[in-house]
Amino acid sequence: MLEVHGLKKRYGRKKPILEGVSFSVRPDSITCLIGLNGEGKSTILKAIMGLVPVDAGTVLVDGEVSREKIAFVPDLQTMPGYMTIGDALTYMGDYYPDWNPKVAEELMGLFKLLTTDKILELSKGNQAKFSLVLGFALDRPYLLLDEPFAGIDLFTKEQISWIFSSHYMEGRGILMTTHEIVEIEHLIDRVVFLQDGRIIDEHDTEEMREVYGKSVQDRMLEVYQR
Amino acid sequence: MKQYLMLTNEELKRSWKMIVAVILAMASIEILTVVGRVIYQERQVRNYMSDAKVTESEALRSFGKLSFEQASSYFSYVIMIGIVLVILYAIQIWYRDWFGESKYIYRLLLLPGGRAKIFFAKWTSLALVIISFIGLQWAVIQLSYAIFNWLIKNNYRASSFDISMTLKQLYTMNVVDVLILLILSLFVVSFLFMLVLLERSYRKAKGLLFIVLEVIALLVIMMGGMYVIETLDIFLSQEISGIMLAIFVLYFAYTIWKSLRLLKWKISV
Repeated sequence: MLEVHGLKKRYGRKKPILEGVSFSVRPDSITCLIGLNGEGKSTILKAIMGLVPVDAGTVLVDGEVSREKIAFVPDLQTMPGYMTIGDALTYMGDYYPDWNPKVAEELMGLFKLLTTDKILELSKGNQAKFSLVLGFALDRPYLLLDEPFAGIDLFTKEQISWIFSSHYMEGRGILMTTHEIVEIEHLIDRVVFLQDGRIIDEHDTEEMREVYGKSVQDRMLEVYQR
Repeated sequence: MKQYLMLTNEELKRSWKMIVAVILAMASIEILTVVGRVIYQERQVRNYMSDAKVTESEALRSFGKLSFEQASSYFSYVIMIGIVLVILYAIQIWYRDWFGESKYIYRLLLLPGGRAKIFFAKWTSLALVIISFIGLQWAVIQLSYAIFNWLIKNNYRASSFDISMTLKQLYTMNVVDVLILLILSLFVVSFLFMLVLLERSYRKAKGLLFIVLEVIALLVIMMGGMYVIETLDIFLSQEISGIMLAIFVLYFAYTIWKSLRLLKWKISV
């Protein structure tokens, strides 16, 4: 279980961006962080990975303070600009002991990516696919995805969505932020709604549909319009 | 250790084109200024001979002969430019990871293991660039000296010149002096790294404030230490050197310790 306890973050004297955020991500499930722009969704993911310091709070992975069981796919390119896809895959193999070249190769084939392509010359959609390759080919039980569908076309969104129902998901706990709820609503197990740096609502999606008769999008509209 | 070496290689791979271009440009400028100076001197003497209708030896008496020190007088400017470029590189080597074509800083900070290797890989890259820069200067001076001797007519050359004097002015030949120069350069690099990491950790006004405070602290340590030693007047010169060295070593260690702490706890992408 990935557990986030009481995350607090404030930039200077501004309004706090996170005010005691706590939630958990179960293995073998997809949890979606939902919030309007600037509500602190990306900050939570970065804080979990230690990429921004927090004022308070802890992150536990299976009861330990360790980030080496989590892979992170941010919504931007993180490999040096001069690299080709092949260079980047070699780089990952060199630095990460839990890199799985077989999974990387399979996903490269499925996404039709070429090792000779320069990363920064890839289209937005292919960059997103390649980022997913880098995340899913790490043998780690938890995966954080920041806006994996942002700015890409419908066809590519479908290709990317496929991975969340594939065997590459087995045993993994996924935490993602997205605005594109409709495309992946059927895949989400849990939703966490954020507003003003606090969690204002959270549900198991199955329960929400059965008990309240509402989709995630319906609930989202309800939450943010009140 | 393996990751540190790979990262150092990565840092150099990202900059080698720029480093080679700068090194070639500097070497070319230095050699060309020596060649130009010799040609200019000979042309001046020839023109004077034809204008004033005097013999070569009379013209040389009026103009003076050319020494290697004079021919290489521009070297110090080129060296200054080199120092400025090294300082800029010490800053750019960090900022490019935040503001380059990609946000490589995410990848660096997420690499397995501690973050100290990121600092030391960049630090080692700078050390290698500085060593190359020092080695280049030594080689260029030797080469320029050979070219100078080959180009200039014997009677145009000032007999008093001495290569070791020139090298001493521009660049020391003594191994201990070279080591001191290298250690001082690495201290400056560590100090700059600390300032960059302060800014990248606290950002904006707070980052700037911490930078100013660190610069003031360094000035106070340097000037205050010297003032106390001179005012008290109770130390032998050897003791003064020892105290200064101890302060330097401690402050040097502090800059590295502080940078590593910032990287571990405070840095922000």
